Amino acid sequence: MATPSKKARLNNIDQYRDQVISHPLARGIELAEVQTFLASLPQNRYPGYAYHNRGVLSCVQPRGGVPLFDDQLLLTKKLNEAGADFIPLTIDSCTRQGQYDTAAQLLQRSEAEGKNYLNGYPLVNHGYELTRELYQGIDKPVSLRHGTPDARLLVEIAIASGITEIEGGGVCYCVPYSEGFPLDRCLLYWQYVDRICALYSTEDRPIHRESFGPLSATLVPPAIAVTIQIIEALLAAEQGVISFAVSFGQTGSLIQDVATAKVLKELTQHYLDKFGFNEVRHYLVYHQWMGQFPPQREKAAALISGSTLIANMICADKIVVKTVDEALGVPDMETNAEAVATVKYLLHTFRCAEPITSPLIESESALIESEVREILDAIFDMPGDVFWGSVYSAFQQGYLDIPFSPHADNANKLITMRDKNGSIRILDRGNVPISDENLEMEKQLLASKGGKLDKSYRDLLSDINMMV
Amino acid sequence: MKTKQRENSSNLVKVAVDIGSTIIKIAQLDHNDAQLSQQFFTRDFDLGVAPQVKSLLEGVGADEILMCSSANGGLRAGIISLTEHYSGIVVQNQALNAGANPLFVKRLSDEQGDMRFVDVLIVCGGIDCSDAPLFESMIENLTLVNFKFGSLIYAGNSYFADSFRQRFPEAVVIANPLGGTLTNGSNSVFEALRNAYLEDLVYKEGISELNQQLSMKIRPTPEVVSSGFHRILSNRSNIKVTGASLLFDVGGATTDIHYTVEIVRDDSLVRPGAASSIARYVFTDLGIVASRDSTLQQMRSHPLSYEFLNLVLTHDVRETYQLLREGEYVPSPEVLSYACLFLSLDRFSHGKGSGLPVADLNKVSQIILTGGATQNLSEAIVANILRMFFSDVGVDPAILIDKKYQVWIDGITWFSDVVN
Repeated sequence: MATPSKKARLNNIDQYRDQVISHPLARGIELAEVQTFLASLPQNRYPGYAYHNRGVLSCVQPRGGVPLFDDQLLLTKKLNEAGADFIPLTIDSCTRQGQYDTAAQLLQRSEAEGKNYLNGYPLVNHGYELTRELYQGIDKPVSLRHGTPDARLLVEIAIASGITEIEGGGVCYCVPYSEGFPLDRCLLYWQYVDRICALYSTEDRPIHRESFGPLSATLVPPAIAVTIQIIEALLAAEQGVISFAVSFGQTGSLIQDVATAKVLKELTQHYLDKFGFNEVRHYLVYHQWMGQFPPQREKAAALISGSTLIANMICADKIVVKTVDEALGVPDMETNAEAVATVKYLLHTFRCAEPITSPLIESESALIESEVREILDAIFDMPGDVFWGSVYSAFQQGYLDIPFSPHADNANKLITMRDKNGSIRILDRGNVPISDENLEMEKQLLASKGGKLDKSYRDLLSDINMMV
Repeated sequence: MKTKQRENSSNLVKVAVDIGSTIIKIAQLDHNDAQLSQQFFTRDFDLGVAPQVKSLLEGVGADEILMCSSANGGLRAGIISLTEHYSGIVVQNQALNAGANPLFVKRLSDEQGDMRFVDVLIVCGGIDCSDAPLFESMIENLTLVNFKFGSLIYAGNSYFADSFRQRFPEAVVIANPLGGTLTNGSNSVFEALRNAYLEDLVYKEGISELNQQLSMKIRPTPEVVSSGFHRILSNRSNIKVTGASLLFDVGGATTDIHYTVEIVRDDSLVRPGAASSIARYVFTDLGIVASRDSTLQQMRSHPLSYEFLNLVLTHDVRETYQLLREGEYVPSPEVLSYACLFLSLDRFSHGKGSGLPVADLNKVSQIILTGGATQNLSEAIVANILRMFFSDVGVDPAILIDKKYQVWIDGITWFSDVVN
């Protein structure tokens, strides 16, 4: 039996770190110099400070990464002027896979031809010295958005660049993203990332970590999303992270979104306290719809508006926004800035001081909470000597199962469907340790709302593409 | 041959024994599995292995005796699969991790077969489902006349196990490692081969009496090394690794590599089985004693053999090169060990070998060399050999020569089911 513990902390990280930063593309990063640089940044560059001062309005964060430095600089300025509270740096897919040589070649070609051959900013190749210049005069936190299973070098360079928010985790950046990257290796590599974030943190200027809650963004039941968020918060806390955001993606059901937010906040606090991580400050991030977006701009705008209202209703600390061109590809900077302005306007106009509630939300919350506790209790009870090992085993045994994940360690036995209100219901629990009572409740809810227990392939596709 | 005496018998808790083809290695361990001492004994073939081991352990007051053996050089396995990239590779990976040496992977549709004798022939393919007409017809038409084998195992679609057994009554049916969903299947082939190895060992070496006295089964040494590597990678060992790793175990007959699968190139057509973070490959023709001649033969014809000699020799490189080309060079065991390392790296970086993926060696951050043949190697020379396979951009991997057989100790004292 292995529960989260500070004893799991990587206290001998220097020997690992020496080799990671000996990579030529790390360009001689030095711990002391980076610490001095981080201390010289304005306090507003730290997410904890932004969250503390947000009042009742959620912070707004767009996505954005382009290969060329000058273009990224322009994008950064544009998003800053549009009112983004967090500035994004989205990384290209070659860098995410550790293919730095390929990224270098494509960057060179992009520079030579003035055309983007990379789908993000190749941070490792640009290096930390140049990237620091991107954020001169920026008085807001910068967030690293990537999807990298082995992010050790990338995160070293990101922090040295002055990026103070690191998204990702050993589960959320592996199982939904990759077919073959070994989950156990990924969990260990993210221990390193968490530890590095902790080592660069000070009490008033912590490097902030954020998990990616939408996962596969395809019919993920709230209980699974919440459980994995809590697990990643605990894994980060084990390594000494003191500022962490849990997140989830819009489910497609208003009731379920509000209930999920409630349970996620409460149980994250509960389990951090339970295992002695009282020092961790945690926040809630809400992702606008992560599934297929409507190609019509008017529908996309309506979807963005609707999810912004939900962010207000749940009092999210931050909302990660989409654009009206989401269905068409990577948006241009004007569209991106427009999305920020729209969301800011809506947040301000329909601000909400406290999360809304209702009997329906309370009963939905009770079901999600009960399921999360059942799954987590089963994982904590697994034999083993370290918590990350239990998480790894939980996937192998199907205790954790993310619908539509391509990963080899994912059981894909958990079957979910939408009820008539659009809520995601569990039809077949697979090996996920949810009690018979809760499974029966899920089925009753599916049936009572006029849903069918024998949906066809077309119905399933319809559930997935409900916004289109 | 006895190299080291026991140091502190009062702390002795466990004894680990490795029965090799020519040497028996015994390590005495304390309650933290730290080594108190190590001893090496030449095999006494007149006496027999069981009486010799019993005599060596006589009077040793250990609570637990852990034993492994590589005495038979590993089981030879043949695989017949529906596909090479799904069932074939999954079964091959489990066979390798169990310490067996897969000699071939053939498709069910292959009519030529392979007449090399294998101890175990495994027939596999498909996920568990009733609607599999292609697989069904292939099983119905399978004859096995072009295969020579000792035992037959069926590890395919479980819906057709009965019809397979009707055609081949001697077949042992085990669970389909692909299960019903292609992923998260069982370790059935791994377990079956590990047990078959033990039975084979007991039969050939006459150690059944010894086996009855042990609280645990005798394990195949390659499987123990693989467990040790896994333990190291899980941060549960005194050996610390920093990332993607590659372990070499150079022996007399074979050279084994154990590696983290993230070093396999994305464009490699051959891939290790899914749901495993480490994999093993065995070069059956590279070694310093039984495979000495084939190793030398390959060095002789290798286009970079002069560059290789230039790295490992301090003088007379030209003369040695000439002798090598003319087949008159008599290398030292160290040079042969370097040659095994060089040739296996060369093949791994190009995927030259049946079932061997193409590795991106630039991703390797740690190299570990273990086994008797690597004990006298120089880290500097190993580093020079490695540089022949690495590009200019990247990190030089850390090199560790396991001079205390710690990988073996880590493996024999660790059971992955503790974790998993």
